[in-house]
Parts: sequence; structure tokens; C-alpha cells
Amino acid sequence: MRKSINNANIKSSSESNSPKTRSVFKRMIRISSVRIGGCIILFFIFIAIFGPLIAPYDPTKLGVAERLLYPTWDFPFGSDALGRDILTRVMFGARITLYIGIVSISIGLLSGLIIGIFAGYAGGWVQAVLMRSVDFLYTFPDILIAIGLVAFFGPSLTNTMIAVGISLIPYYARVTYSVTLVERNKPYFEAAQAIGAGRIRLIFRHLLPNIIPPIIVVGSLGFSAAVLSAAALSFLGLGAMPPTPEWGKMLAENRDYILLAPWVLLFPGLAIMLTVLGFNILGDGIRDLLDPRLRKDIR
Amino acid sequence: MNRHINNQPILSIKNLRVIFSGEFGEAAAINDVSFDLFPKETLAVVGESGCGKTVTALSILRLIQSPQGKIEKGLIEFEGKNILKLDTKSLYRLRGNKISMIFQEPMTSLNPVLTIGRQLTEVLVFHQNITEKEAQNKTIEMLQLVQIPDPKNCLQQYPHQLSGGMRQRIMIAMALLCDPRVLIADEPTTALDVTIQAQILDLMLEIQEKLGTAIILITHDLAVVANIADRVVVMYAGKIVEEGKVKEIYNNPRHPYTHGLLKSLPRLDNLNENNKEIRLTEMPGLVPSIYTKRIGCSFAPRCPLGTERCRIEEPLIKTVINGHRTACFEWENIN
Repeated sequence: MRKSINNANIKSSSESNSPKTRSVFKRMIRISSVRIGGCIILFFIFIAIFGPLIAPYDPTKLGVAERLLYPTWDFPFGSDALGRDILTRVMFGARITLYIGIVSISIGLLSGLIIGIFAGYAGGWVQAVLMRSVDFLYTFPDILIAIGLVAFFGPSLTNTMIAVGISLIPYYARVTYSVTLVERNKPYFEAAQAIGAGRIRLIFRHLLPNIIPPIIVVGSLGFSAAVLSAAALSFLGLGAMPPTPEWGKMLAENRDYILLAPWVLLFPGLAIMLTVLGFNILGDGIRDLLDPRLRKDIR
Repeated sequence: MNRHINNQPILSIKNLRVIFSGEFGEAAAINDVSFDLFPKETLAVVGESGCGKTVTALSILRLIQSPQGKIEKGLIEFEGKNILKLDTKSLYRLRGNKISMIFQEPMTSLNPVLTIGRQLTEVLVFHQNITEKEAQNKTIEMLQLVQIPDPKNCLQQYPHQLSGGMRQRIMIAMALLCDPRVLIADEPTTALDVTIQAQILDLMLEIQEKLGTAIILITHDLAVVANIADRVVVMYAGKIVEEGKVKEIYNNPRHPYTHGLLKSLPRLDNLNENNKEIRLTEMPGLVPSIYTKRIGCSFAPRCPLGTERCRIEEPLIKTVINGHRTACFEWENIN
């Protein structure tokens, strides 16, 4: 009786559970948040790649007669104070904004992850030195660090991304550090030591997979902060230079017209919001995918 | 009975002292602990919570958390080598290979994000020069030995998909994969219910029979000890207070603490001459904090036989009858 039940169980589970027959991709699209977030991000990536080809106008062409027009069929998102078509600028801006966001997040996230995980694992003076330096950075507002760095290296888009990335390090280092502390005090870590795992193995095989899921979620949330920091730098004349259609820059340039012509802010703002939302939902889904405890599709 | 009498001990601990520094200053979690473990025997370490059982076990594998904890002095000899003096590489090769450990909490001692298969084969791959495939076969064999139904499927599962008893079996399998000479089982059954407990203990003994492993069983369950151990070490407040063969200890305890422990065990036949139930005896008082300064015997404040001498002078552990050691001045007056 018991045997047969067991066998039945085994059969059904091995059918639905063999990792080779179901690819990672198939597993991914089973999670609805990955589907939704992925669609949003894919849409923006599509715009980033093909936007320049399908955009109706030239993003930098000025038009004295077309200043601050309502959204109409000719100008679906309206036009800005210099008579440029906002739809066109939003489409052109997708490429540059995604690029800034992704690069600066990657810099901040990777460095923060490495610092946090080593500080948390090593403890003692290594931890003290690393985390105190991070705290030192943390005491300054991110934007101030970014301004300082850009001023030091000279204003350019690359330097802006590096500066924004560095200003994000303390945040990610802190989060990683606290997660690492929690994980390394769990019994499985001690058990891994007891079976003779060396340092590298402990960090990369046992700690890292447990740390990545929460960090991915935090990282996807950070995208908006990165885009806005980059925009602020552009606004101060330290990042993307004026005619460049970067979303954050568009917000900064046009904020005076918010009462007169809200659409000049509305559409770039919506674009930022949707991208951030997409990254968030996708991040959430990927977390679910990476964390076997939350994986719903097994059994 | 005396199967180890001519044997060399496989593991020998001498004068081990481990200190922890906390906000109340330094404290010795264990002090002057010495005992031997012989091949193929089961040695039980008993005592109440906080008496240093787990610390003793962890120091054998040098897993005491630094910088708070430190092995201050002592010697842990395994196959003629002092573990405390090993370099990191040899230490990694020792852990899980020659000496392995089963932890208290089966629910959390497995890495939640790795499959059972990966965690088990990992042990084999880095301790023995074998391929992934061979490791997998050996793992499946071991899972059969610990009576996991359908081991092949189990390899692809994650810890949260298994019950506590299953996870503890996995932990045992993991500890035994490399045929260790010494297995340290730190309360392997406390998190499990009684039926599973019996199964797990039987399993450990069976495997000991098969592989010739020496077991250090850390527990506070005296009934378990009576069933499966060959010898017993009784610890109190970081020290060994009594050591001897199971029968000796149970029939003729030579330390008032052991005596008290045994008397406080519930029994089914606890009726007195008039067929009235006897109230369960208890030991008054609590274990002293390791942070308090102690003079004399640590057990003296709770001891029914305590004398003036016990409060001033500390009794050293000495052999009283062959193989039976106790740290008590009044050992002749017990019973």
C-alpha cells in the first residue's frame, strides 16, 4: 500500500521534475512576474534598438512654431519648449537611459556585493576596514559623491556612469553585508565547514547562491535611483550634454513647464516609471526562480 | 566487553581548555577536559545544556568561532597528530573525511539553495579523487544505507522538500560518505520524534558495525545512552565529572551529579513499599554561569554531600575503580 503510493508519487514527480527536459527558459516564462516584467523590459529594449529608425522626427530639430503643443496626431506626446517632438525624444532616450542605468547599477552592485560578502565572511579587521570605509562613503549624500567624482574626472557620460555606480556601492555593500552575516551564522554554513569545504568553496558555492536572490531584488529597485542620479548630474551640466535626449535630463530641463504643459514631463516620467516597474517585476520573478524555496513549479 | 583494552585510542583529548570572551569578560566554556576514544566504540557525552558538550565537539574539528572563542590550551590527538597544530589544508582534508559531524538541527543544516545531490557528491569529489559519476553512484548507495526511499529522485530534490527525519538521514549519509574513522553526533535526535529517533540511532549503530566507525554521541537523553553507548563521559559546568562504562555509571554512579541525574529519570515502576507513587526527585539549583568566578567544586552548592572541603578545594578527576574516573572527594559515600 505504502509502496504503491510512493511509486505513484515518484513517477509523477520525475515526469515533471527532470531538469533536462525543461529548459531554464521554459521555467522562466512559467512565472507570471517574469513574463510581465520581461515583456516591459523587452519592449524598452526594442525601442532602444529600433527607436531611431521608427521615430517620426529628428530629436534635436528645433521648431519655433511648434513650441509646447498639446499631444495631437502629429505630435502624439506633444512637443517641448523648443518645439522638439517628445515622442521622438523619448524613443531616442531609451537607448541612452537604459545604458546609463544598467552600467551604473552593475558597477555599484558588483563592487558592493564583493565588498559586502568579503567583509561578512572574513569578520575581524577586514570587516572593520571595509565596512568603515563604506560607512564613510555612506555619510555623504550619493549625489555629492557623484558630483565630486565627475568634477574630478571631468564631465562625460562614461564618467557619469562610473560616478553614479560608485555612489551606489555603500548601499549594496551594506545590504550584502547584512545578508552575509545572517547566512554565515546559519547551521548549514557550519555544516559545510565541517565537511571540509575551503574558503573559496564556502563563499562561492554556499554563501553566494543564498545571497544573490535578495540582492537581485534590491538591485532592480536601484535602477530608478541610478537613472535619477544620472539625470541630476546632467541637470548640473556634468552628465549628458544638452541636446542628448536622456529621460532624466528631459525631466530636469522641462520642470519649469509643469503647470503650463504637463505632458513635457509626463511622458519621459512615465517612461522612467515603466522601466523601473519592469525591472522590479522582473527582479522579483528572477528571485523566485533562483530561490528553490519559492519555486512553485516543482511537484 | 573490554574490547578496547589493548587498543590505542584513535582520538585523544588532553587538558583541553576553550575560552570565550564576551561582554562580561573571559570565560572558560570547557576547562581541563581529557578523554580518549577507542576504535569502534560509542562514547556518550552527557550533561545539561550549557555544560560544554557542543563546544568539546566543535573544538575537535576546530570549528570554534573565532575571534570570540579560542582553544587556549590542550592537545587533540588524532592518529598520532595534533589537530590543533594542523595547517588549514590538512584540516580541510580531515573534516568530513576522517572525522565528520552530524549537527543538532537537521532542518537548517543543509544549504537550502543546493540540491541534495550536489551537497552530497561535493563531499566525495573534494575528499576523494573520483569522478562526478562515481560519486553519484556512491551517494546513491549511501542513501540506500540510510534507508531513503528512491535515492535517485532524492538527489534532485531541495532540502525543503524533505521531512526532518529524511533530512537527518541525509546529514548522516553526508557524514558517513567518506567512511570516517570518527563520527561526532551532536544530539542527532533531539529535533526528531521518538519513533524516528529510534530508527536513526539503530541506523547509526548498524553503520558503525559495517564501517567500524568510532562514535562520539552528544546527548542529554540518558535513556538513549543506556541503550547504545559503551562508555559515558558526564560533564558539568565545563568539566568532566565522571567517566566510565555505561553499566558502571548506571549501577554505581560515583559522582553526586550523575547520581542526581539518574534519580531524576522518570520510571514506569516508581512505586514504594506501600505501592504509592514516588515523586520524581529533582536537583535543586542551577548550573553556575561560566562567567562567575568559582572556587572549589562547581557542583558543591547543589550537592547533597557537599562538605567544607568541597567549597575550598577543587576535586581533581581520578581513577577510582578500573576505568571509572570521578571528580569527587566524597565518592565513597554515594548510595
